Amino acid sequence: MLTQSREQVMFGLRALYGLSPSSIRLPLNERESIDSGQVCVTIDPDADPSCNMGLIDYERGKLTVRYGGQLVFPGLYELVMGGRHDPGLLHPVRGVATDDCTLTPDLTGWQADGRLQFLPGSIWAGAHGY
Amino acid sequence: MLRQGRPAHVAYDTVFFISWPEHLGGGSVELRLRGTMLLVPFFAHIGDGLPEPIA
Repeated sequence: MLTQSREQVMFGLRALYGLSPSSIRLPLNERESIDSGQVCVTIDPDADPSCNMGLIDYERGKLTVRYGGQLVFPGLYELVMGGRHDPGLLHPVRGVATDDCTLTPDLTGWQADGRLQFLPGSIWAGAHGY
Repeated sequence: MLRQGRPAHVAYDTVFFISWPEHLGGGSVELRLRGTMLLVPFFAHIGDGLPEPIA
């Protein structure tokens, strides 16, 4: 994990939450889609051991973090309660995100270039983003 | 904070551009997420010495 840079801290991600400010359209198949409702993400306690950790390099002003998240889509609840779809859709959707970040000059934040991969186990497996 | 060996709460605001597989019709959507993370240092490598474990 160590490089030639002299000011590095390796860290673990111990907590995570996030909310989307608005709903998005989620496809169910080629023809149907639903509104997600406000999306909620929390840390995935069952994430792969390679997740939920990162490295901050103060000398280069870079931060890399990889984390596993479970996403909840309230729109799925209404869909399942309609009785036409499998209750398994209510299982948390799991994803892995990897962010390569540039620290702000005052070290109070960063700008992220992230990638997101939906894991097997949900209808959105195979979806990916950046 | 992390450099001093202390945990740090950080806020994030990020947008993912998600592409759907073909069997879901393809296309893409933007998912914006705002929230916070708690980062806890494992060890630091500062200066010319060996990495220092952080209790």
